[in-house]
Amino acid sequence: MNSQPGPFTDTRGATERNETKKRLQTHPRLQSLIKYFSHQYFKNMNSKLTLFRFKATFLLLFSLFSVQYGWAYTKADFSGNINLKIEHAGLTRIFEELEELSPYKFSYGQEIIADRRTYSLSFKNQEFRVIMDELAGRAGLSYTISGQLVMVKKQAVPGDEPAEPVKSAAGRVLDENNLPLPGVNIVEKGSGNGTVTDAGGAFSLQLGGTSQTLVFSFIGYESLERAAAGNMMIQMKPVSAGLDEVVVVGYGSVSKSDVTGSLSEINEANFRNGINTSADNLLQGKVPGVRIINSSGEPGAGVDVMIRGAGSIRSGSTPLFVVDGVPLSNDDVSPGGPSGGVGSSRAKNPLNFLNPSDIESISVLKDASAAAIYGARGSNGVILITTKSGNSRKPLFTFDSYTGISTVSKKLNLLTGSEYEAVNPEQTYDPNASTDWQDVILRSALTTSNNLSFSNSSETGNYFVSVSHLKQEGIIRENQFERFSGRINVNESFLDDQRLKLKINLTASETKDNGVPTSENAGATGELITHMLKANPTRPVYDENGDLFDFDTEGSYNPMYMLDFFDDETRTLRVLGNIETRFRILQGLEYQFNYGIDRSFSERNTTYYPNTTEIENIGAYYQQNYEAFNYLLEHYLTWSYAGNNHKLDALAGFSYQKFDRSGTFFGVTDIEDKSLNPANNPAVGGNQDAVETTGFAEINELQSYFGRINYAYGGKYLLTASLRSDGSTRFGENNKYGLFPSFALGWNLSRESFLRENDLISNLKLRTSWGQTGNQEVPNKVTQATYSVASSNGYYLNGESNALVDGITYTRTANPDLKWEVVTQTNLGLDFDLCRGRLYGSVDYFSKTTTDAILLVPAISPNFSDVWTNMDGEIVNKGLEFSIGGHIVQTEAIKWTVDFNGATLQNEVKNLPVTEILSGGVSGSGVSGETVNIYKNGYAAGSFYLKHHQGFDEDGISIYSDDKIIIESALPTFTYGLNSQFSFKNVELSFSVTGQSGAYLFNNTKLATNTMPNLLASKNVTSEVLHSGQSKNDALVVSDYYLESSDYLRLNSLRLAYTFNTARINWLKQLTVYAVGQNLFTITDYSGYDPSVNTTKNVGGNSSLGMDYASYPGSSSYLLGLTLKF
Amino acid sequence: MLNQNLFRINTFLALTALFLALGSCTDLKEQVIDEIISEDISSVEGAEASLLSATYAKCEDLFANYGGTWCLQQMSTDETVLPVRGEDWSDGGKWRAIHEFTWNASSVKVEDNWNTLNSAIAQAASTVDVIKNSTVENHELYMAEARAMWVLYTFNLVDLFGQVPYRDPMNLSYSEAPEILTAERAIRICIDVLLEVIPNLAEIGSNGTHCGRFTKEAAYALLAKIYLNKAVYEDRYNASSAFGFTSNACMDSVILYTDKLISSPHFELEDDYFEIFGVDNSNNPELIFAYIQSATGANTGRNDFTYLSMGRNQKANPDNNRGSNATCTTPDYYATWDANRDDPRFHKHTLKNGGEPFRNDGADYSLPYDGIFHFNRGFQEGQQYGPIITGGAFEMDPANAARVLVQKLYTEKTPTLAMDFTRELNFDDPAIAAFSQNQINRGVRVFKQEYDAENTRNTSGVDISVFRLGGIYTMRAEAKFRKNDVSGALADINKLRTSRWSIDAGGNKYYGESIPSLDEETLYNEISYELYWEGERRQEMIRFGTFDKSYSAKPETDPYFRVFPIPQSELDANKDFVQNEGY
Repeated sequence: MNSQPGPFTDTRGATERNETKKRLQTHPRLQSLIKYFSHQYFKNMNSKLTLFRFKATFLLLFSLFSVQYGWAYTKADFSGNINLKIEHAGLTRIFEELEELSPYKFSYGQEIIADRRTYSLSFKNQEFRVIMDELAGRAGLSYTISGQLVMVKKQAVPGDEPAEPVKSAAGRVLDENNLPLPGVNIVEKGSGNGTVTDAGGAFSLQLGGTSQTLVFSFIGYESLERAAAGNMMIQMKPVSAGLDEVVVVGYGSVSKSDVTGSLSEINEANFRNGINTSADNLLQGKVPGVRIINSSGEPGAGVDVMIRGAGSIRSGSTPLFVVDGVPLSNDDVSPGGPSGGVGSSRAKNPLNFLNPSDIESISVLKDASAAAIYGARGSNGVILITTKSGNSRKPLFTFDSYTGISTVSKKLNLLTGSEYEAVNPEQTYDPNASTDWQDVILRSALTTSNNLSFSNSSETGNYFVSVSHLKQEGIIRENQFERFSGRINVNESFLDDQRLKLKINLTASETKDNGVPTSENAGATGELITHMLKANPTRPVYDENGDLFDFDTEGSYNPMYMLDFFDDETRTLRVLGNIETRFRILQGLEYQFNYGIDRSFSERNTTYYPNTTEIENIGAYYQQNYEAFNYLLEHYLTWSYAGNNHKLDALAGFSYQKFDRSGTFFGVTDIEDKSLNPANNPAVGGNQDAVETTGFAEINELQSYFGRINYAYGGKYLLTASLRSDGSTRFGENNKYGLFPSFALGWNLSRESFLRENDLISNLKLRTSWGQTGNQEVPNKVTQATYSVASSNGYYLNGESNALVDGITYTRTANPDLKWEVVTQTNLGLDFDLCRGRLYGSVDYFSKTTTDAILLVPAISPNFSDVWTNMDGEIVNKGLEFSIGGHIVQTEAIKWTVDFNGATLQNEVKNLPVTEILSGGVSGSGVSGETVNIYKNGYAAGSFYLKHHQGFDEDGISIYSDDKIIIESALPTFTYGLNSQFSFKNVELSFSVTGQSGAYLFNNTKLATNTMPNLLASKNVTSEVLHSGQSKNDALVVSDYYLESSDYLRLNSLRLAYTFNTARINWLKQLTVYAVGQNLFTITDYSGYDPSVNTTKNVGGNSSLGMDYASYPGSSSYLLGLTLKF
Repeated sequence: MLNQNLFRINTFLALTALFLALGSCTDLKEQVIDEIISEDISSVEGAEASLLSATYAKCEDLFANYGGTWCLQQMSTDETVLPVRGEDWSDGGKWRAIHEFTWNASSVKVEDNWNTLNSAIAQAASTVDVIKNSTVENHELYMAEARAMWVLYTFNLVDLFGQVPYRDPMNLSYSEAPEILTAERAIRICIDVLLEVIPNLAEIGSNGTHCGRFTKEAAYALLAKIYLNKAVYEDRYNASSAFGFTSNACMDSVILYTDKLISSPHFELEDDYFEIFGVDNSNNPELIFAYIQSATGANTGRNDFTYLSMGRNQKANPDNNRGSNATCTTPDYYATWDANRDDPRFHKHTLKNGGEPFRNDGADYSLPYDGIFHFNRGFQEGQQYGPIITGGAFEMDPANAARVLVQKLYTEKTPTLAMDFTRELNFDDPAIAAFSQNQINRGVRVFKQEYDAENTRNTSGVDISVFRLGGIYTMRAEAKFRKNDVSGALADINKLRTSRWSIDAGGNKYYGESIPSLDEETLYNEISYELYWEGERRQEMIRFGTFDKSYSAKPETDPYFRVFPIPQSELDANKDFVQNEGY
């Protein structure tokens, strides 16, 4: 955290609030007046309204006086500013210096002279009083200025001087967010005499006379001892594993002890270390039941986030992302690779626009109780991202910079030139050549990241501003991701007692992706990675003239040549902003208004220059443009009530969100030469008609009403109930609105009398919840019958010589009855904290059932196409999640915390009225239309459905089972993460391990690139395949021969940091240098590049699971960076 | 104090009002801005023509695509096989399943064709549904054409699948379950609709029509075809294939309609036989109804039937316009040509390479070259020769840069393996149509349609014949034969045999010769000599009782295979269906 705990933490609020007063105190004429008002101030503290009046009057008076005062001051006192730089000087020496620089004279006593401590000060053009305040704060002085005389005294240390004993103490206790903290235990030290704070955090206590010290304690907070006084302002600090820290939930936040649902919050300190291109990657291995799988190792590649299993068969298991209260659309903001050429590829991660360094915390809402407030978009879970705000109470400048080198984590063991010649002399081109095509195409890639931010906060508001730049080279040549982003977050409060609060968050970013000719569904002509793996090692990269060597016509191309004739750049601009208004109508009743916009533009230019391969050999250029404008309008009322034993928070709101999205696509073929990039002028393409120009423009609207009640009795018994009614234009006329209820109960057992005194158990809570959430992630317009016009559906109605008459076809088989998919989820959870944070954790059991699953299935014939429909049947996900952690060592010098989390998952498809749904399309030669995934009753979602490979016969020919078998293993049955943070004095060492077991991956890359028949076709194989016993004449059959365990254990990150001791450099708050190793090693049996990828191979809108095809290889990275704060 | 409270109350009320006012800002009616919503279709300029266009365009996936009905009609027969060839064409066994008769209700190609046909039927029906309320010029003509196309597609569904889910295009509703028709009832409806629309159809060439449109003449051809096969649909499972062709005067109807076409002044037999399937076949005098393709327009056509059969290293131009090394014929069928090699329809040496014949026997050293290399036509057996690409260009004759070297070809994927198209297939497992990598050249190839190399590999300007005069002659011959008019049948067959010419290896033109007599087997073979590779073989084999016999990788099979199963996906969606017998 940014704020440095200092000696004045507990009273800082009060100190700073009185800052104005303190300045006034410097003028003796105001002294008595201030005394009077101060008295009034505290006397009237309970009446806010009167306080407002008082404040207004006070301000008025103050301004009047200050005019006069200012005038008087300039006349009588020194008004110039001072430049002071002094190092390691004692107080007397500093006073002498100040006397030199100003007209003031100092008066001090023996205790000042006796102070041997030294101080370093550096001020430029600063007021005298500011310098004095600073010095007084650091040296524990108090001073008064009388004319030109400055009288300095050592501040009284509590208990040092026998003060007049107080008979009663009173005051307020605030939490770390300056909110009243009710229920705090206050005891007169050494006695049984005590009280608790009320709902407003206030207390008063008649002292028995045992001592003059009060002990403040509250569960989850560090205990404090303070001298008793009549007007105490106490701020309590949560213990580090704070049980009562506030966690962000949908439409607000709750204290952790009041949470009834299953949710996890991760803050910056616990984010994944290393190069994180997008926010979702920060969560990798951190939250049980949240699986984050990159679609490939390419920088900025799409990411699949799956919370609590696969709840849906069709594509669309992505959770809802909410950034600072604005729910994002899950649609791609940038185009994927165009089909044609090497084949289409998935769009980049839409979250790439968000700079991960701007993120303060991420909450993952997993169960229905937590997510149901997001209704029809909550069923895949909800991820709430909160960006940073200023909270330093001082200007804080942060600069973070790192440079990293990434290299491929694992190379495949392909045959070298001489090995190749030995086994395949007929296909050896040059026996002396030995080209390692992986070395040729892959590189050590450089990443640089620079982040700069500054922030500040005041009593009423704060701001945070950042700019950042990330440039990440891919480990494949020519591939690069670059992002520029900026953010401004501002909060301010207005009117009486901060009645009106305004908050603006605004971020803008531009990302630039330079792609390489890779794809997820290359046809028989292949793409870069497959060609890299297949390329004959006895062929050179360059010919004798220094030109790229032409492999010529063998269906195998020089991969460097592929890079040479391909050019692909995507530029995406995205702006996300929102303004939040909070207005307190009455004490406890607040109105909030939230307006957000999300605007993005993206242009992708893909060029294939004319070439001698079969891939767009006459040249082609494609341009795709995406544009999106989404906006959000929300009103809601919150009401909080806290009585003696009752605490009630209620929320009611309305939300409207509109998603406008459009895109165009056009292309030309017959590119004449390479001298001009068609992206700059498509007219260089000779054939403007060969590629059909297409476009789309769609609107989706959501309108919702929602409400929630959180009730707590005595801090022990908790109830949460929520209801959301969601209407979507995506649903059919008869089913516009869905209703999504949830209920949850919680029991803070540790607050029961029988456990309260138990030292072992600091916290023990039982939670249970039930609720329903929905899923509306289907394409737009599927409920409506519409026609579209396209030349591709046209015909030469008047003879070939005449122009084509465009065809009008029904776009789809409409389903006017379509409604949302429902997920009903129950959750049973237990949170515990033993020995005051020594051991803490939680366990959750969940059972999630999807009904009314939306699927794309064949319509009753005759009809136009498949139809989106709600199917009977269920998809059940069950599992046990746990996280357990502990502060193993917690001393001044050594701190060590270890967290382990894990989740099991059991998935089953039940009662579907269709025989089977196939997905997971295989790529490669001779396998078009083949699939590997099956959704079938009684089996896990996306199980593998393959012929069983029984081995090779004596000729090396494969023997297969007659029928396909089902293998349930596309999803891991157990996923886990281990995170450790260790610090010794200034050195920190942390690491993170992630892993999974029980999962298989279909190695489509191997099928497409690495089989013995390659040797007949002048292609390479790995030495494992060479020794597998397979014959060169073995036919290619899709089977479980290519199904491999993807169990792995990975050292995801290792970070070593050193924080310099900056106590002596007064302008510097922090200087940390760090080194991070990312993805350092992986223990796995998987033979491909990376066991933790998932290539999208959806068929007909239904999700593929557990596929690896031509995945961009994963990389290991080493970073060196520094963080500077002042 | 009062003011203060008033302010509060007012604020509260104002906010509540605002809250409620904004609380209902949309009725959630989905706006569609990039497509035409159904209600607006009639106000779209030219919608009728565009709907009709789209109705015709459905032919592409059925009749011009090797995976369309052509796949079921050809690959299930002895004429065509698409075997697994090493690493190519396995595709989950979907191609060989059709040849091996191992298809079932979940077979990919069975389901694909069911869906494609049904979506074509739906398109035709929707076109009828819109046009029936139209008042534009020609709406009656358009309506008749759309209804006739509905019949064409429905007839194909009957032929392949037996049962028809029926929604009356004249009274169309997609919200109600379709009626399931038997083949017999569906055929009756097909005939009735055709008879009803003939008066409104154009005579070919009138009213802006051409062979790409469904005219009166196309209707006669379709009626002839329906009547020729009707007996099969009425008794599909007849164990001995003894169909009642001559009952109900079906053959008379065939003769009636074929007579109309043969005597029509609009058509005549093309003497240069392979030109019927050439790049320049637009408005060929034989074409009665064809699917019009253009290689350069916005809908670029397909080259499937030839490039599928060509070897990958048979390149028609240096832009890598290569073949796919897929389909070939079977030795069983090829043997039927053994005594008929001099038939001009068997093979043609092309003269298109600058007027010099392409001998394709190793004797050619080089040939004139103008940007495209032209291959021979018809059946291709033995070692193949042709140009070779180096560095993005064909290797040219060093002595004459305007001539392309013609060299011995090797297999692309196995460069040491000579491209020798063997007559024998010799599958390792006789029941499995699969070759290992070193066997991938096997099988005699068929280059009946011309390879249109002008644009890219998968574009073509060759119009795909659906009905042509040669086929009409075969139908009349068969009808006459079944009515015991053997001499009449023989006359028609000999008309076809003697009207055609071809080019031999020396570049000389030669005509076919007549045959003296005709029996059933001869007739059966003669029909295929005219119509091979045109998607007719399965119907021929069923009518002549040879479909159940064993050939190539296919064993002897039960009669139920004469009709394909209703796909499982349809059975899942529509519980009214009862699966076809045997599946």
